[in-house]
Amino acid sequence: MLTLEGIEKVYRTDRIETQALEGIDLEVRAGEFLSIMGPSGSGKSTLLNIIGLLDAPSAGRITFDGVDLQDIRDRERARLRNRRIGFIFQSFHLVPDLSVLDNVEIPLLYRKMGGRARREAAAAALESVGLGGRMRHFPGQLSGGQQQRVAIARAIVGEPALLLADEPTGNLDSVMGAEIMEILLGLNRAGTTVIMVTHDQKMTDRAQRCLRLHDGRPVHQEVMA
Amino acid sequence: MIRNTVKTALAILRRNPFFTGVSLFAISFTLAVLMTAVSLLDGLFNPAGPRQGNHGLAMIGYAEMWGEGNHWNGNPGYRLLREIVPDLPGVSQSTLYTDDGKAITWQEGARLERALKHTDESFWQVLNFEFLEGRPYTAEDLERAEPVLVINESTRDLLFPDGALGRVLELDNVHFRVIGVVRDVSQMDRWSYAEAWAPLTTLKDASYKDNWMGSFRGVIQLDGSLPFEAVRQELYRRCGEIEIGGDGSYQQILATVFSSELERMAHEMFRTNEPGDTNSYGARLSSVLLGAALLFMALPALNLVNLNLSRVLERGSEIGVRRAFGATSGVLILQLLVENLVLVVIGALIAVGGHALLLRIIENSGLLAYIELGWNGRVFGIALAMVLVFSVLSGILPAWRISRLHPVQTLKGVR
Repeated sequence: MLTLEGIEKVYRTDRIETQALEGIDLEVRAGEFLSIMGPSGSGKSTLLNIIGLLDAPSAGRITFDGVDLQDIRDRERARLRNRRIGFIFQSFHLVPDLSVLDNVEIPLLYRKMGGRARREAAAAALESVGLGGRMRHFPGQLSGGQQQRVAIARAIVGEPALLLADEPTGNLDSVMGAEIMEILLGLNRAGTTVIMVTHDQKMTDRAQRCLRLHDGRPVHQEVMA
Repeated sequence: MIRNTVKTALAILRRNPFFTGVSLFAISFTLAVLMTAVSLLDGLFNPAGPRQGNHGLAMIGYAEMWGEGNHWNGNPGYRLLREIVPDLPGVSQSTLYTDDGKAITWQEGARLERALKHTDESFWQVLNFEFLEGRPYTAEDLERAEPVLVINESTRDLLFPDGALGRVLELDNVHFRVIGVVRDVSQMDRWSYAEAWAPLTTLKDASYKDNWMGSFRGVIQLDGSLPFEAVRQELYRRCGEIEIGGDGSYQQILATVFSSELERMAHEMFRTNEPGDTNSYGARLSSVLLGAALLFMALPALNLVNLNLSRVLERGSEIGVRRAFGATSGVLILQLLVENLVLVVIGALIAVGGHALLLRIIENSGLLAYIELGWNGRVFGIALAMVLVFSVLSGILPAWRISRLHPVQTLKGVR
């Protein structure tokens, strides 16, 4: 499904050049659950952003569903993100002024879809994460775990093939973190490919494979039990 | 999509009431002043009343006469108009009349001034006055120099509340008999305005008939058989054939005809001091008015740009999420412009109230007599265009800037 070859990412300012990623080669198969681990500053989130087409690599090549992403235009990237990829962020990134239902609708706004169908799909996604009764609430009225579940509903409402989760349990206590992990595992079992960045070894133990990074370089890849 | 955008826009406006208040004040104040300016200009250039709906009118409202070291400009005189207007090709009818002057009357010992025009009988055919009572004066009245008078309704209500027809009104020591009452005409309608109209032949001093320059105007009604420019050229040609005579101080005379009040005002404002400047400055005046409107809008728009920019950057996370989930730069620009439009439309609705208030203040101020300013399709259309221009002016830069940021930058809340 996804192939990364020789990926590098360099951040340049006037005075400093920082090598965030170097020599990343990775292949992710459809239906896999991959965990990316590493200490802070090891380039995990940068790699995830590159995989999610939110950032561009300084060098290297990415192939998604057999399409080389190097030369595709911004519009095509946006379309690919909208149709094929879902994002879950550590700090949820919900829009505080919009209701839970409106937040979940966001990915569908960028598809040709009627308002009613959009609301029905958003409601179904919220039901699937157990928040059917909170649709009219605003993010500020929910707990951290509930907010992350809203973020998951938003990520899956467009039925993406690839789900990218950047430390999805990082802001949650262990109980809520476990709940979120269960939801991600359920989605993976249903066929969604999941790539998750985490610090938490317990979470990684439940993935199928783990890529460990250090100073932007892959140091270890392992297949979990 | 639109529903979601409007919902977001309203939520954003509620988020910071102070910013919203400042923005709305700037927008509504600017638009209220501009709408009022448009109403005033519309009243000036397209007045309701006798000229309304009569698109083929043109005015000979300026003339100049020059010779060696001499130059005289101003209104044309009766003699000049009599030489050049009759039997003009492409003209179905015409009228000659004086500018309105102040005539004095006395009522119970109190001095009153009335704006008085002296006109020929065709005046009432060329301009469509609404008669409330009585009739206009006729060619026979002019022939006999009958001291008859048509007055406006306010003069009737003031001086003859029990009925005006047949009553005598003394104006500048001439005793006129009132034979008609017409609806009030706005003072902004420079072509028609007066409070009383009398036959030209009742002018006390008949020397006007011999004057090339004077205080007259001529209005012609084009019949559409010739383009306006051809009629204008024929007038110039006729002027060129005039032999002025007299003591020889002046050798040439030229009258200028205007197809609209805008053109007349533009000529008054921009004409050069060189004799014979017949250029139309209508386009220049239109550009100046448009430029002034844009400049007036630009200052609050710039202020709004700053406010919008800080608002939008505050929303970096949301913008990042939208990009992550598939919004293109173009879609984001459109969304932010629509959001800004919502703000501007709210401001415009407030401005409509402010505009109505300003109109009432102007109408009641007595600065201009009998003005009736109000909404019509033109003012609404122009106001709508202003709202859109204002909205785009103030919204495009912040929208463009945020849309250029990389999704990762916006998600991190980069400023």
